[in-house]
Amino acid sequence: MQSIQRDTLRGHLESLVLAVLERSPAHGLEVIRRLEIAGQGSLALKEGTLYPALYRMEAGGLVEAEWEDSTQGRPGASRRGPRRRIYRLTTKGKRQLARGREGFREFVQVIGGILGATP
Amino acid sequence: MNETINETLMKVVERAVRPLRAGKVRKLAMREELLGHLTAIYAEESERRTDERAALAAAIERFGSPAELSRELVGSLTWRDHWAWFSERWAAAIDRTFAWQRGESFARFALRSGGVIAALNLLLFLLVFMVVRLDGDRLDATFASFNRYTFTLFASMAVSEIAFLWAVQSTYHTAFPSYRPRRWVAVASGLAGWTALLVLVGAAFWFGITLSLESVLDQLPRIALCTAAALPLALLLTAWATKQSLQQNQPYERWSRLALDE
Repeated sequence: MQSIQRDTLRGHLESLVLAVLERSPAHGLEVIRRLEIAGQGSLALKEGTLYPALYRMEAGGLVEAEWEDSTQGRPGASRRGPRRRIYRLTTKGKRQLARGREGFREFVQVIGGILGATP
Repeated sequence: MNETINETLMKVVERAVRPLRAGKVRKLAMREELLGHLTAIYAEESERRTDERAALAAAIERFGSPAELSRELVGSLTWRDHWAWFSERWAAAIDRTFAWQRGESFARFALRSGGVIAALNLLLFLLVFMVVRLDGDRLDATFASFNRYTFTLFASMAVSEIAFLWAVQSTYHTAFPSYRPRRWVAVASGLAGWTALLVLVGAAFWFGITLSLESVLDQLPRIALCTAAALPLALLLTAWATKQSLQQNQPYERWSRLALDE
C-alpha cells in the first residue's frame, strides 16, 4: 500500500486522533501505535508532530489530559523517567469527531464522484 | 540508557522547545512529555538493533525534525502562554537587576544593589527637585525638611533591604542546610541577631525623622516589639519559599544548561 504523506494527512490528523481516543484514553505513543495499526503502516507521520495537534486539541477543549502516576511497565523504564500524559476525549471532542466523520463522508462523495473513485 | 544518549535525546527536545514563547511551567511539561516519547521510541529501536548509535539515529528520524516540530508547536500556543512568557521575561529582568545572583559575592551584590537603589532615589529626587523649582519655590525650610525625610526614608529602605536579603540568605542556610543537620539553636540565635540589627535600622530611621534621641528611646520598645513579632516569621517563610523555588527550578536549570550550538 502506498504511504500517505504528512501534507495529505494534515487536514485530517485531529479527526484521526479523536477517533483513536474514542476507543479509550491513551498517551502519545499509544496514539501513534493505534494510528499505525489502523493505517496498516501507510501513515507517514513523524511522531513528534502528533504533540502540536494534541496541544491544539487540548487548548480547544476537544481532549483533556492528566499526568500518569507511575512509569511501571514501560519500555526502558528501569528507574523513574519522564512521565507520560494520558489523553481522553471530552464531550466537545466527541461532537467534533461526529462532525469530522460527516464532513469526511461528504468530502469522499463529492471528490470521489468527480474523480470516479467513490467506493 | 547512558547519560550521553539521554543528553542527546534531551537536546533534540530542547531544540524544539527552547525557541517557544511560552512560560516555564508549560515548556517544562512539553519537554517532559516529548522526552518521554523519544526515550520510549529509543528503547524500541534499541531492542531491534545492537548498535546504540544506529538506534539513536532511528529514534531521532522517527521523532522528526526539531525545527519543524518547533514551528508546529508555535501554532499550539495560546495567549496565556505568550502572557506567561512576557511576564517571566519582565520578572527575570527585575531579578537580574535586584536579586543576589548565583556565585556573586555579598560585597558585590551589596554595592550593586545599593547602587541601583541610590540611582533610582537620585532620579526620584531630581524629579521632585525640578517640580519644586518649576513651581517657583526656593530651597526653603520645608524643602530642606523634605530632603531630610526623603534621604532618611530611602537610606533606611536601602539598608533594610540589603540586611533583609542577607538575613534571608543566612536563615536559609541555617534553617534548611543541605550538607549538615539543622540546629535549632543556630536558627534561633541567627533570627535574634538579625532582629536586633533591624531594630537598630528602625531606630536610626526614627532618629533621621525626629532628630531626637529622647524620642528614639521612647519608641524603641515599640520598634523592637513590632520587629520581633514580624521579622523572624517573615525570614523563615521567605527562606522556605526560596527553598521551594530552588527545588522547582532544578529541572528547568537542567534543560537550560544544555548547550545546543553544536
